[in-house]
Amino acid sequence: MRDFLPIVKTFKKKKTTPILLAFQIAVTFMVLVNAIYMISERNDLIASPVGVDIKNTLTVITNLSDEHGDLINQLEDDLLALKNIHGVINAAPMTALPLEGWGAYIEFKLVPDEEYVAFGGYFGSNEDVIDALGLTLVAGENFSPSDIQTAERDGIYKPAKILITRALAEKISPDNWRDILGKNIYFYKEPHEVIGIIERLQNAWSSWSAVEYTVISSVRESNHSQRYIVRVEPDQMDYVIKAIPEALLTHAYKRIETIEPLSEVKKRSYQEDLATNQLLTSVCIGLTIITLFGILGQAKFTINRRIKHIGTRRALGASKSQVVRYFMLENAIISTIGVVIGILTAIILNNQFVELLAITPVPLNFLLFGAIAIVLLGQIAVAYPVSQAAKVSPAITTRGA
Amino acid sequence: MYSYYFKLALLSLRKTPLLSLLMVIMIAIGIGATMTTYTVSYMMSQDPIPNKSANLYQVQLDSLDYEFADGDTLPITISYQDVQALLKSDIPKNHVALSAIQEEIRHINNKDIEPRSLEVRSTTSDFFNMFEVPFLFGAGWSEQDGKDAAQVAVLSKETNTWLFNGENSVGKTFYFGKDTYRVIGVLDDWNPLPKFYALQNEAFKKPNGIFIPFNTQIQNELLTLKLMNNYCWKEPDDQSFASLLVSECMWVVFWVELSNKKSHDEYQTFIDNHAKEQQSLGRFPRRIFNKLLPLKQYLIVEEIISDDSKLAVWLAALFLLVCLLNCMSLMIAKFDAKSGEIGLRRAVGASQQDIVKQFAIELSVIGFVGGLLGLLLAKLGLIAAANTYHYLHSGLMQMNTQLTLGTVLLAVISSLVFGLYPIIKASYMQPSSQLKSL
Repeated sequence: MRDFLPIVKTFKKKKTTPILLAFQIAVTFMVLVNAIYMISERNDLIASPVGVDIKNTLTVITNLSDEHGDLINQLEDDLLALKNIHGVINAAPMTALPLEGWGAYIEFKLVPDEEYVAFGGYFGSNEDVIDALGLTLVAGENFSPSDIQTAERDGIYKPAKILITRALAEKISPDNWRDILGKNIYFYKEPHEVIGIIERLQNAWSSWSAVEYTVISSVRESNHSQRYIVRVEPDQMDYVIKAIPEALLTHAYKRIETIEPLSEVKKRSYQEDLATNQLLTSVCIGLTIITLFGILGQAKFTINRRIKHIGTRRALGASKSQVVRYFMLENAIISTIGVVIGILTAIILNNQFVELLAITPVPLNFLLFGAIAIVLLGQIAVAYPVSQAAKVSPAITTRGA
Repeated sequence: MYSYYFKLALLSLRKTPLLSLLMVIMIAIGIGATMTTYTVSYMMSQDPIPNKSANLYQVQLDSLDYEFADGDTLPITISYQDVQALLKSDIPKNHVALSAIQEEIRHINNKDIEPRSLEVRSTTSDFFNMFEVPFLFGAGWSEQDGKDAAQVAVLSKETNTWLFNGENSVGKTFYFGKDTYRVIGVLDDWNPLPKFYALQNEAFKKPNGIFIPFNTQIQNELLTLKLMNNYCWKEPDDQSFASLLVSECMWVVFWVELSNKKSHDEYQTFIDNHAKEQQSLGRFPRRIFNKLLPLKQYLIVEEIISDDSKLAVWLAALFLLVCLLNCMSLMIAKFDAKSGEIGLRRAVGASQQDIVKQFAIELSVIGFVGGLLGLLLAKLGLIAAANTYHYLHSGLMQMNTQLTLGTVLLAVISSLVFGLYPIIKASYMQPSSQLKSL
């Protein structure tokens, strides 16, 4: 520590290079800390469970045709064909798919004509929905076949029995979420009786604040472009995907729009986040490399300039380790100054950042971890040139100018 | 004089190849990263139709019975009943209603051509004129054809290549779902960026592959809920197509072209009068609040340019800053090593300005080379970005001439700005101090 004052004194003499380096470290620190925080936030978001058995669930979109009889009969035929495929656990019709990015959203009221108490996403299906999606029922019961109604479009306007997610139940009755069982929730002025609560089911929009607030209504719809959800036994995904076209394409008019695992739908819904993460990661890597080079270059430069000074110290009895310590400490001081500037700027400009870039402020523990990491990084970068400096021979002082 | 300095600069670069190379690489990496992200963001915020953007307005009507969003923002779609009324006005130079459907398209007899399910733009006859859409063959449908719900279609160049091998297909027919439609025109390449006229979530996707008259969609009762922004705040009477048309459901996008202030004001009065008239019939229950939202403002309100792309530019700019600070350290090191030369030049009569000029030219050369290399890196970066953002329009990942020139200029200017301090510092060198040690 007794090197501290001499180091500070040399800063006073040659200020430009240390200031530049400190400033550079400050910027690197700010960018790295913010970027890594954003990456981890996005990763959490992407990792949040959909609530369904995502590994073993796939979706099929196929056409129902007005010219070929009743749509509902065609729907039943399709479902039967899907369920008969070897390896399929269950299949159900859906009005939209989780995380598909498209669907219906509704405002929930406890009393019609009053202010809404929550808003969320809507799915319509039948009694097979829990099994076909692999949902977990935590209270109440599933639909029975007699509950199921049918609509061609707009099943949303029909009074019906519904299942809701636990998150929505907690939102509507915060004291005891089980209280909502058996009560009516109103949307579009019609009563909907809550008969069951499911642990979790994300609705259509992954970036929506109400993505966990979902209802499943007991109204199945038959659409010209009809969605089915199919759950398969473990490891049967590929086989079932191959078997579906043969099972469904029984008539010339039948077409399949898409067959894909639900995990693909989820991936697509987060594609922007994934892309941003990739970008942030490359910025982080690039920045770290550049800054390491900067620290290395600066250390080499100051050491070259002070070869004689090192030689003199060695001649006067300083050990190699003392020389190493001196330069390591110098770098640690510069890094710390840089990091402190970085933290101060982050705190002062916090509001501007949040407003300008729509990012959430980085929590304090992230800043501290980042600070320690940057200082350590500096020490690593400086290690090689410093080990070279320690090799300077004391004899150098005896050579002429 | 300057050519002499230029020679000196090259000589100096050759003398310190490693240091110079490092500076060039620093500048190149910083410039490359900045220009990659800036290009994407810049292309996203381009004016999609510069000749007309000042005259294009989206019509938004507050026919709701409660407050929507924050009260000032309105849905971007309007109801079909209002569309019908607005289409009767002859105040705007052009007006366009649009929606979209999905339909299966098949060749009339060639079984080798796999049927495709395409997204179809349904719109009114002014569309092609109003949005300056270029035609390769034929033309758009006439107003009369539109009114008559003729089964005609305009194909994009890509669709025409797929279905008709790129030949002039005007007059030929194909299967549109179960019906036969006749090709009336084929578009040339047309990729407005952003695709401003449609829904917000398709702003950076290609225009649809096929266009049909809006009335043809209505007549044939075609509907694809997934491709509409259907804001049904009041339940239709029943589930039939006919009741959707007379319902309060808002699902049609409506644009008008108003050439001057006078027609703008006239049109505003016209839509307000329409709302008042409807109010007396029991619609528009809350207020008369109708907007003609200028195109540019619409792009801002709908947040077409994502925060992510702005963020990326900021990050890259900070990246460039770090690179330049690094470069500045290197410059100081470089000039420090040259103090002997500076002292000698000063001693034999060079003025401070001469020294500044000499080094400025040397730095410009470094900046220029760094800029060229940075340009190369930015092009590579854009290829990588096109890969990462595979779901966006590839036109976003291309540099135009302005950006290309700007890249090199940015490199030269920023290396000079950051070199200013080291240069001036070097020029203050006292000749005597260095001569002593020579």
